[in-house]
Amino acid sequence: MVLKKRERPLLTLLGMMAVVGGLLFSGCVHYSRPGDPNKVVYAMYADVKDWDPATAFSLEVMVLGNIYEPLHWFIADSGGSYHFRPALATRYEASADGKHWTFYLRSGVKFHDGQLFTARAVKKSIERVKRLKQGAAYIWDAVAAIDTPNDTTVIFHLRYPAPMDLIAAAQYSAWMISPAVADCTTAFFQKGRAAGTGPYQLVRWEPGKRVILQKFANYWGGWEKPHFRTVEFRLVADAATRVQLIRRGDVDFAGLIPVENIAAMRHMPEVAVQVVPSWRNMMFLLNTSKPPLNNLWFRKAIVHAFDYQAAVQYVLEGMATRAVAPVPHTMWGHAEQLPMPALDLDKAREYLLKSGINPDTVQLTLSYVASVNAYEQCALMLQKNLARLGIHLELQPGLWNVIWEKARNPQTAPHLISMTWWPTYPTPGDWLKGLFHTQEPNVFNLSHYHNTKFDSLVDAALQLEATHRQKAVQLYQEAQQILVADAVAIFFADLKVRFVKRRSVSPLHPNPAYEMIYFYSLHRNVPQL
Amino acid sequence: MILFFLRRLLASFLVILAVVGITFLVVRILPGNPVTAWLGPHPTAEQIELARTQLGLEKPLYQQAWIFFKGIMRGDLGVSLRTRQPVTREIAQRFAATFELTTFAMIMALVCGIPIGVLAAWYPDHWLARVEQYISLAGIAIPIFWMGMLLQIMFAGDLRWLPLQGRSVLPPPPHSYTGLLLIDTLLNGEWKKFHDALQHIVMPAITLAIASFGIITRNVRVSMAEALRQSYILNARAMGIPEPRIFFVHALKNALIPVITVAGLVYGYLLGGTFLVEQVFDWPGVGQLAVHSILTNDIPVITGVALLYAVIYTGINLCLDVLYRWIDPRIRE
Repeated sequence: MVLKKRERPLLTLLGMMAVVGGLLFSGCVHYSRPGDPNKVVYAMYADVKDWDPATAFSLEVMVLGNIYEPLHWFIADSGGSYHFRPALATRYEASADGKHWTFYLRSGVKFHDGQLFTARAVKKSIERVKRLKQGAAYIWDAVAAIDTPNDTTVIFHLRYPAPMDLIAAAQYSAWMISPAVADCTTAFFQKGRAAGTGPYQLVRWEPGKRVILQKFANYWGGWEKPHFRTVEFRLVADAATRVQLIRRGDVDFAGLIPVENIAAMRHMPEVAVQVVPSWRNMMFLLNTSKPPLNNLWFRKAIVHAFDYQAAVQYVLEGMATRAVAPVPHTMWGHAEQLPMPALDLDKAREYLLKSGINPDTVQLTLSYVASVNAYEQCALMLQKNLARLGIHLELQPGLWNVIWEKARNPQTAPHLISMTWWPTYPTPGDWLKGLFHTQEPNVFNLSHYHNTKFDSLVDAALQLEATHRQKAVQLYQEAQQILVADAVAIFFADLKVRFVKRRSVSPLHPNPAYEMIYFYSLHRNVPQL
Repeated sequence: MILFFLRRLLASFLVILAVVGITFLVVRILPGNPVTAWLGPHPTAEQIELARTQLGLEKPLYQQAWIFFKGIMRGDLGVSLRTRQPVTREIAQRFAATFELTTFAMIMALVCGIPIGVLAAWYPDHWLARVEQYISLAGIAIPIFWMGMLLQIMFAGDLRWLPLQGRSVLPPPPHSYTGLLLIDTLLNGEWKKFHDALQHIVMPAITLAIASFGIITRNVRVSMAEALRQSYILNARAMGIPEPRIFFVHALKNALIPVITVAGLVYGYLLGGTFLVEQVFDWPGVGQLAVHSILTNDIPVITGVALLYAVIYTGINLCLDVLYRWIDPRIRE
């Protein structure tokens, strides 16, 4: 074939592009994840925000919980019962008045930096938390002094009775750190440093990319059984990408997979979805101080206009159970057989009539976190049902920090606000004190609810947790009855946690007390030949 | 020339000052409580007050502004409320990733865009010219996040040619000379990691390059067609100068002058427009940092990123002004 003179440049340029294209796509060979059966990869949706175990108060518990250990673990059994599993303490005892707690420590335990774990380390860890006053430091407020009579005994002396067994098992601010770094500031840890006693030690943090943990050879639990040796937390901000990654097998776990993706993932042969109860519950708080919601009958009308069953079954697609009380049914101290409201528009109309308020004159506002699809769907359902009663509900989606700031101020607070709550340490009092107890200044009582009887019940129960836990349960249940009777919120769902993982990883033993995966207890199943 | 440069420099400084000032005011006037990002989910009233004092939020706005501008002069942009890391470090760590991605995308856009634009001008009736027009139009019209997800499904999901996300998975990171993975791995002679980094950058870079490709190709085509119509080209042909020489030396050289301006502006646009691509591909760059910071009201980082982009845009504009003046004698005169 003879080329025309004018076609030579065309060929020259095409040749240049072919060479460059070839170079670029030289990387495009079949891509597969570098395989290491002893390594587990978790796709997390946000980076570690706080490396300081004394102040960390968020998602980083997923990482820190594998590096640090508490004195003992709270193991939540079904139906709200529980027991403790020894960790750095092997047993504990409390004085009759609940003001002196003695923990007996495991001996021969080493920190990742080689320091020995002793009573002095416990004292320094807790005193550091109290000194920094950040994160969940307030859980240790009752502690007046810490005695260390010998290396394996630590005694907490309290100002007032407090459930030190529960507090010592908290998932925030209860980690033991090496005495060598106990005097360091938070800035020291924020560079990605850690020194705990846990099964894994931090070897590298690449901000915005990943965290790599390696097995701690001297871990007191030993490495005889099959365990993962390396844990990688990879930051994958986009949910759709996390779905693709686990489908391809590039990661073993994917965190926070949207509810709407779960059904499809159940059909993936290599992917397993484990759905387990949690301690999180969802509600819409009703602003009890803002007209017309300051009218009890009007509030009762609102709570009977919500479709609880549809919210759980269709919006949350089975990733929740219908709330049976203000405290989730998985937490000890939750109330049973409360007269929880159900969707009943006739009853709602009856209450509306009793309230004496003309619905045509009412315009309510509902603020919800826009990024949570379930809130939006539930809000739309409520809007539709209220419209049937003649009540106009204006939906105000937004960012949490904006909503919260407005909701705290009675002048700018909406009539209803979305809320998901979970406890700082294993106590039902966290919901009741945190959300509904009178607060001055107001932090999270976004129902603006004030009831002296309720307040005194909760205060008494919190103290009785230390000495008479059964009695405390009774008081908590009584307090929950008051909340339901006063219709302070639409308590609609006790959420479940969904773990999406590759089938090759052994099954999880999830524990609602900790929002983490304890990777030491897992291994990769070896295929049978 | 020097006076012109100084005048433009002063104007750029004023623009940067205005951008930072406006951003500073806007993020503080908007509703929302930034301490939520700092304190975590369930802070106490005492902790909120303490945090407001620590972060200087209880001070009057003019005092906050004074402290902020003093900090900028010292190169201190404060601490991120979300990650608790110094903002300058956060941005510095991520800027290299953004710079590498955008530069790679720009090279791709230029390498593909200029030849195709030239071809479309040389053979206006050829089928290639029509294909160029369709691709340009599609590149400009298709939303960037959608294009990114399509590529992910095709090349990572179905074909499995490329990794789905991230910058590189092979630890440990190479010794850093430039912060650019492709360059650092080459300098260290780590071929496996270079290959890994190349695999990771290809897809986000293509996504980013497609839109720029459309703009560059169209400009080259128009500019080249204009140059080929000039009488000096006819004269060159009449003199029997070989076609490739006419093409590359005489026509293309002149046609590229306006393209340089467009390419510079597009590069600035790319550097500041990586938000969506970085989010979709989990590219740990400044765009992703900005998205996370905006969603959590992380005031120091939002302001820091705004400052960075203001500097980039004005810097590129300044360079283009100077460059244009330098290469085109008509403007100098």
